[in-house]
Amino acid sequence: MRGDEFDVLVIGEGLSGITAAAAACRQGARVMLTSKGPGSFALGTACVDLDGLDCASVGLSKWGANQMEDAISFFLELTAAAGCAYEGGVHEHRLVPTIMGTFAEVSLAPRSLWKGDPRGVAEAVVVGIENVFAFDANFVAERLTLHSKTNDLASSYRAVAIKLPQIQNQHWLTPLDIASEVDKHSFYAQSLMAALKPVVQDADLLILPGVLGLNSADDCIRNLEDEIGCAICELPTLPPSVPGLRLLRRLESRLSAMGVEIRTGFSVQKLCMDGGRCTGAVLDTPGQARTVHADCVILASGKFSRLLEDHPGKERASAPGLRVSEELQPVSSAGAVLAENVFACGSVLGRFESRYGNAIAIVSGYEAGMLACQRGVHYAKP
Amino acid sequence: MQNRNLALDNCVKCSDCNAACPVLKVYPAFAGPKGLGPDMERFRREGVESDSQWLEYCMGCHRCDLACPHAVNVSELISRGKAQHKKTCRVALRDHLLARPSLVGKLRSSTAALTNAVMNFGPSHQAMSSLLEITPQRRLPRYSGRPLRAGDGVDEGTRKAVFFPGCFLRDIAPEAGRRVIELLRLNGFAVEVAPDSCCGTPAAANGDAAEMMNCVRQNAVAMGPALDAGACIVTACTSCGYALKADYAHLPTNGALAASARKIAGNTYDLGELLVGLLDAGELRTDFRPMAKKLAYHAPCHLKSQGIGRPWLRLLRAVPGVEIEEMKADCCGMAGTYGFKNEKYQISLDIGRELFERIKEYQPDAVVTECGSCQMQIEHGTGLKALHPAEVFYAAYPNRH
Repeated sequence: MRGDEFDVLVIGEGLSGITAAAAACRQGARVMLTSKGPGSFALGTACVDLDGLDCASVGLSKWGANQMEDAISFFLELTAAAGCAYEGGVHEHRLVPTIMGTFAEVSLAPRSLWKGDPRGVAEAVVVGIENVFAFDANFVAERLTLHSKTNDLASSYRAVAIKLPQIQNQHWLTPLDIASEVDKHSFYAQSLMAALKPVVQDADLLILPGVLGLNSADDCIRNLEDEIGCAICELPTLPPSVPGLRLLRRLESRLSAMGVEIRTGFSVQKLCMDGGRCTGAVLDTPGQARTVHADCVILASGKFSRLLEDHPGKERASAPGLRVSEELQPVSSAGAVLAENVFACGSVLGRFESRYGNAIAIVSGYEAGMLACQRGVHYAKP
Repeated sequence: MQNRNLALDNCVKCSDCNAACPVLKVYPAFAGPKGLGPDMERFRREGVESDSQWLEYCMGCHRCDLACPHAVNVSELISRGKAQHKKTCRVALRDHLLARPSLVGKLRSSTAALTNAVMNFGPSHQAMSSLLEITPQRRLPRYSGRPLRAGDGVDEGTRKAVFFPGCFLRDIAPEAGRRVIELLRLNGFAVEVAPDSCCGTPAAANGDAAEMMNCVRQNAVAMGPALDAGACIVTACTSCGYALKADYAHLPTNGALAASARKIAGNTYDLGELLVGLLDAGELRTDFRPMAKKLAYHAPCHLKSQGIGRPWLRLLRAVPGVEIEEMKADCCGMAGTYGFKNEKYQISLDIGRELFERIKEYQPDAVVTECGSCQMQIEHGTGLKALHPAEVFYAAYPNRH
């Protein structure tokens, strides 16, 4: 097989593209994932809210509870294998703290955030780090206490400031600086641990800004918890948020280990259309554009994608979202399938409340990956 | 085609570029690509005085460009800013020399043995280091007495290629350059060696936009006729390759030069890219003899920014007995002339540490990487031999003559 020929080409490296690539790869397909850059899930909390999600609202009337269960359990397995496990499930609800000192309702969350549910907590310590901006422990503790009271919860929050060794005489540091130092020098991680131990006292939860390394697997964080004798809830801060970047990197390495070819950094100029089929995509690489050939293409290119702009099915920005068939194939406003071997997933579908973005990404990404494989043989060149 | 001057308006301040920057990872004081690129560009365009010192600390690895989800030309904005930055006298002199490795090469090749000895002789090396702010911790590259010349090309062959060796494969590692020519010959190419000139990357990296444009002009004149005769250009240094493909496509804006520079950009192939294309088409000679070798592979930043994958992993894996793994440890930290500068030496080593550790842990027989500057850094940081993959690949062909 040629270097640039694949069974499935996934365009987009958000939660939907990553899930689709993993699902297709597990089915045995040779997959390439391409993207201009990472999706926006890495900038937020990456939590998933499934409560009240109506798949029919995205035009996916065919989807039932079973598909959703399959997709979510696949995603839980994927993240666990990647060392950045999620907790939760279709029928679960938790409250997780945010850096704005509020509680958000979620169905799935990264393991560390999941532990922040106030209903399991009596006394929590919110840890601020001296001279690290973008996280105000006093503000977070005060607001969480307030919200805990107004919701009739028993959890209480107190703020504590810790001091970490200076890095190269820098006065102000970002959470990213701390995380890089934790990755590079074990003594720095030791200092962090030593600074955290005395603040625990009777607390049953430590709430920290996301600083625990960009590469740390769940095991590293669990070891830290064992050492200090307290659960840790790591809050994503302003972009670039350390937990978000870590999640992205761990998922990337997992895909890579599964055999997915990842080639990011280049825009897709256009899809190659031949009659009712898409034969691949053209990447905007320096010198000459490169064509990647594929039997199926998964369009996970996000809300602002212009790839199908010229096609009659793509409505204008005021009415966001690509129309798709029951099998996620983009269709024209008259209902005709544009290309039988193109499947769309994630926010390119667009017509849903933004709180469900990650949920739609996972469920539609999984579906798109499975559909591409089920149909792959059918679409392969003779 | 996007307007390169307006691309900064696409920046949504997500900081994905900062998270990808190798310098920022080890040096928190660094202002980072977001600040130096799209943010400060607004001040520069308004003519507002701003602290431009940090621009000098950008390595030009282009990782920020690849990381940006919104196609902002971050490193290009930084590079433009660099060209406006005023340097102190000694740094200006040093950077003037570093921007012109082919000039230094010409001077040194004529009396290579003597100058190599003088430049790496303790006291004179020390004196030069302190005068020119070049680190005394590194050996300066040893220029060969037998650099690649136009006469090193080969005539027979059905396809035509112009080999653009660049400064490293011409003056410092011409034996590896000769292997490149041999590999092309063995696979049916008539090879012409491009005349003495630099791709311009060192000039751009040292903020010398005028010298970069000189390079574009010289190469457009020198390689134009061969391109017109249907030849393709082959690079084996990934930084030359990136410059020819990417910078040449947009730097010159005047009509005739822009057209010929774009022709260079559209017809340049990395050696690995070209050979893998032949492999895919079933046209590569694959009568390899088995070779038991454990190789560590480092992918240079300027290979990644070409978007051609990892051609040498596939090529070397086609040789029976070769075990090769990519080290996947980001940037080596050398960035051409960057790691030679006194004030950047420690940063350069700190960036490379992760790579050095991975390589040592892997315990290879040798390290392979396409970039000459990565090779120098890996040898400096690990003490292991670092080769161009073409040298190993060539050795796998039996009955070479």
